[in-house]
Amino acid sequence: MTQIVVNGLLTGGVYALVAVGFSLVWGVMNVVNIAHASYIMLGAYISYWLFHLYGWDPFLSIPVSMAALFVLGYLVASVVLNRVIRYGLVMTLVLTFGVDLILQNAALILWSADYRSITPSYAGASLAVGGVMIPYVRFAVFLLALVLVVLFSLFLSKTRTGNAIQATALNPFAAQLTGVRIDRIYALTYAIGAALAAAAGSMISVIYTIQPQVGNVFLTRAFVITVLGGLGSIPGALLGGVLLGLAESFATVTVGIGWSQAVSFGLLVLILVVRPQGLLGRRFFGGVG
Amino acid sequence: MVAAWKRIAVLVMALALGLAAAAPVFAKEDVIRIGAAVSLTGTYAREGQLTRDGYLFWVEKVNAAGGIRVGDKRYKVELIVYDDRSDPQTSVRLTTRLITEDNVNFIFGPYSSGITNATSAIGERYRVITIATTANAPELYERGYRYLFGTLPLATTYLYPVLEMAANLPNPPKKVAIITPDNLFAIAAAEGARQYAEQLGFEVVYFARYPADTTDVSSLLAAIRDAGAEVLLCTGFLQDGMLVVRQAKELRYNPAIMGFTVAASIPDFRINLGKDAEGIMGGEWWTPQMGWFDDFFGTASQYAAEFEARFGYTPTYHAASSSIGGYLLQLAIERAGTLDTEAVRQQLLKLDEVTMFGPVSFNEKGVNVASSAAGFQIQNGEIVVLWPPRISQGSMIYPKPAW
Amino acid sequence: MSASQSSSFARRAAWAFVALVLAVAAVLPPFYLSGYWVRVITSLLMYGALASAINIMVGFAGYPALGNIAFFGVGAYTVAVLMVKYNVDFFVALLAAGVLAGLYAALLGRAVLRLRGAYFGIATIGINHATSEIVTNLDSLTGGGRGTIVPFYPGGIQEERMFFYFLMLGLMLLAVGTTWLISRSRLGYGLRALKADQEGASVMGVNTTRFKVIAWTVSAGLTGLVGGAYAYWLSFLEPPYVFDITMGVKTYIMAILGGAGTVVGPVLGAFTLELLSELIWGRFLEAHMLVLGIVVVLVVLFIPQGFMSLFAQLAATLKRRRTGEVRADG
Repeated sequence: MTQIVVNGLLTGGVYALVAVGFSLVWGVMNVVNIAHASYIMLGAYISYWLFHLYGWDPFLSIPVSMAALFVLGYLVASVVLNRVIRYGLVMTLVLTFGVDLILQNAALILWSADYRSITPSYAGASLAVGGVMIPYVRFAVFLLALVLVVLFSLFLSKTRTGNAIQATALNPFAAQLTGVRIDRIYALTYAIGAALAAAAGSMISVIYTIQPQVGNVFLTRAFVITVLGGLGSIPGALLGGVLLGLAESFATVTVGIGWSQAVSFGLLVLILVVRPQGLLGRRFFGGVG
Repeated sequence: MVAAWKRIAVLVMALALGLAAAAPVFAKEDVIRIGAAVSLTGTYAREGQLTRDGYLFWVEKVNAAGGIRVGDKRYKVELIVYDDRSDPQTSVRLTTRLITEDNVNFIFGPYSSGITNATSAIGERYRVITIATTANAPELYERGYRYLFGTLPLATTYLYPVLEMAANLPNPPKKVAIITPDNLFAIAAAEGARQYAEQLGFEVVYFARYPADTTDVSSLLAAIRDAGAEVLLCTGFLQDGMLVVRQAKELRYNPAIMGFTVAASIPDFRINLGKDAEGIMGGEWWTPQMGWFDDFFGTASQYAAEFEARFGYTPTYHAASSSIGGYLLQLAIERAGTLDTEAVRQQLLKLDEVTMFGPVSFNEKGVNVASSAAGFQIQNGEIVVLWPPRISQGSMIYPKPAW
Repeated sequence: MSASQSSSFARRAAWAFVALVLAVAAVLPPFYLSGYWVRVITSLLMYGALASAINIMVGFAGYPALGNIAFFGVGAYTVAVLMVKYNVDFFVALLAAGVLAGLYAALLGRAVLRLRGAYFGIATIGINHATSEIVTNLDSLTGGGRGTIVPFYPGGIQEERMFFYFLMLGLMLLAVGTTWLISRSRLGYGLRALKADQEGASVMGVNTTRFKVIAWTVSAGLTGLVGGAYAYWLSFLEPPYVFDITMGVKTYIMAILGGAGTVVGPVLGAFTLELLSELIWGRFLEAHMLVLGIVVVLVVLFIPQGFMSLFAQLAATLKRRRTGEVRADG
């Protein structure tokens, strides 16, 4: 049983990191960012290629993939996304869907649909604690995900830019009046979201097998977690991620793995109906009518 | 208002671009046209490309040899390939296009049992023969179709050799666990393995289907470990196999036998997992090591070498089965002496050949009943065929080395 | 006065002519085109129907029903299960598919339609996923991940082509007709009021919950009908292919592309996008999805309000120019 809890927690850490950037973009910009899936995928491939071609340890390549996706995210936001953001959620969703199509298929053409994985010498090793196995890599990923989430949380609360992002999330018009340049804040937020996705992707490349569609499965998880935790809430994403990890893990051994996703999505709809702002969320956009 | 006109101009240009793409294809004389809608993008892109390359290899080889002899004329083969995006609706549409627009004489099937299920219905309606080279779920051949031929033996028999090897050990293991992604082909293989395991006297202690897009099976494996399974059989695809091995290692779950379907024989499996792949077993329809041969392709290893020279990678069973599908069609056409569907069908039913893919003969349902899967084990990073004993190249390492 | 009368007559005659041309154009294809093109057009009609159905929620009520494709799946599986397991006649099964999908939406609607905007959108995605998993797990009934085979249409190839062509055409006309009726009814005005201002609408005496539930039920029922027809047409179903969220998002994009909230816009959007992706793919074998992505991005950037807005702008320009000329004459 302890093993089931450990598995759930470790998976939950990755889920949380996947969801943080997605939740941020949604909460601050009111953009449901479908392209998040592609950013995860690109992060994973950057780590894969640095490992494969130059022997870089995947944990060392995380800053590289984050930086690369930060730049890409900034470009996407300032060149296309900011132009249509005034048309609202529906249009931006369609736009990010288009961006996702482009990136995913470009990856498919460039790198083919081959399944790839990074296997550093320490892959698969685990620490035995009283019969419970804790895989080193997954544990490291879990810790690193926590660190990133905490760092990011500090950035939002302690820095001027972070405060500006939060102010924009709460009330873009008021923020604008106080001299915040909304379009820059949006581009920055989106870039940070992409960078966080890249970090998650890099970590995913060490644990799982990757191919151009690898991000899609995690995107659906990000949906659930964001709603579970509350839009734009960083601790919420963390909690949501861990809860989802645990729920899937337990569903596997109780009702059977076939039902585990039905359980999580049932949970999603239930939470929405009962507590639409999520477990730790404030109300940003939309809400109950 | 200028803006509106500009936008319309953009739109019209986009449409024109599309229309320009729809240029008609002109029919040539003395050509046998074969159509294939396979997955080049989407979920099945990898396997779809292997399948296409298998078709292409046969086409190039037969054309280099002067084409197919029909009566006293020689026909070149023209292969028309479309990408079905791993989507049955698209595949059906493209198959219809191949038949009604491109006027193909024969169809080579798509990758996966699920998509073939949909497209073979089109071939059946239009009375065009479909040679399905990578689709072997039993459901496909139970519909009474006349124009569907599958080169692979049924998926249900996939893991038979692994179970047979296990049963023939001096101290055979007893408890078996079987897991499968929720997918037509994989379930068929898993159900087949379950029945056969019970028939051979094993106890199936765990049987689970998991959603096809599952990324994490660690909790499932923990439950299997707790159930005390000594043999772990996994149907499913490359990504499933790699996931199971990695996560079993993380849990230090060491079954005495680990057997896979599609995954273990694909080179990527060994390349990616390295020494963790040691001792893993699999059922396989074909590997270059099996030592079959025919007059057209030569031995299986010659085929593999030529294929690698052409495409830059070692062929898997997908490719070999697809090449052999072409070869069987060629034999049937040459024997029929005509391109007439009914005559070729009769000749396909009469085939009784030994090829580099192994023995082939079709029953009334279109299933290849002569062939069966071989069992192999990964030893020192290479595939070593161990079963049936007649083509065995070594001895089995049992139990599988611990992680 | 007589001039205006004659111009209104001319206009009416012109409309009648357009309608006649359209009707002839709609009936002819299955008689003259190859099996492939009939199939392509049949699938255009199918997407037209789906885009119209989702438009009722997206365009009129302003609810981003991203997971509306769930009802497509429900409809498809209703037809499959009824025909395979209970030997029910196709048309009866089809009717059941529409009714069941509608009921499903009505049931869920009371709870889920309290949510607004993105929250509602995500809830529908959740519903789609959960429904898909449930269908997968009820494998004794649905065949689960193995899929299920629906019996063939009993007639010959040509007959079959006609059947599905006119079936989808009928469903599309039904969807468009329903949309037209809604656009002119109290329901339509209520929904539009709701879209513009939820609180305001409720103050004005619009029974918001009831209107929303009705709209969703209608939208789901239509989607379910199309799903049912699709099941019989394709004759093979697997859960991931009928509960396909990408397909759902695609119909959504079609509705927007044509013009959300208009009557014929979604059909126009569906035709354009499907035809474009069908044609693009012939040219760029490996890159077609990439090109489609580029097209989607361009559309959002340059015609965010859909085609119908372009036509409206154009009409306004022409009108202004004409009146300008009249003034110059006088």
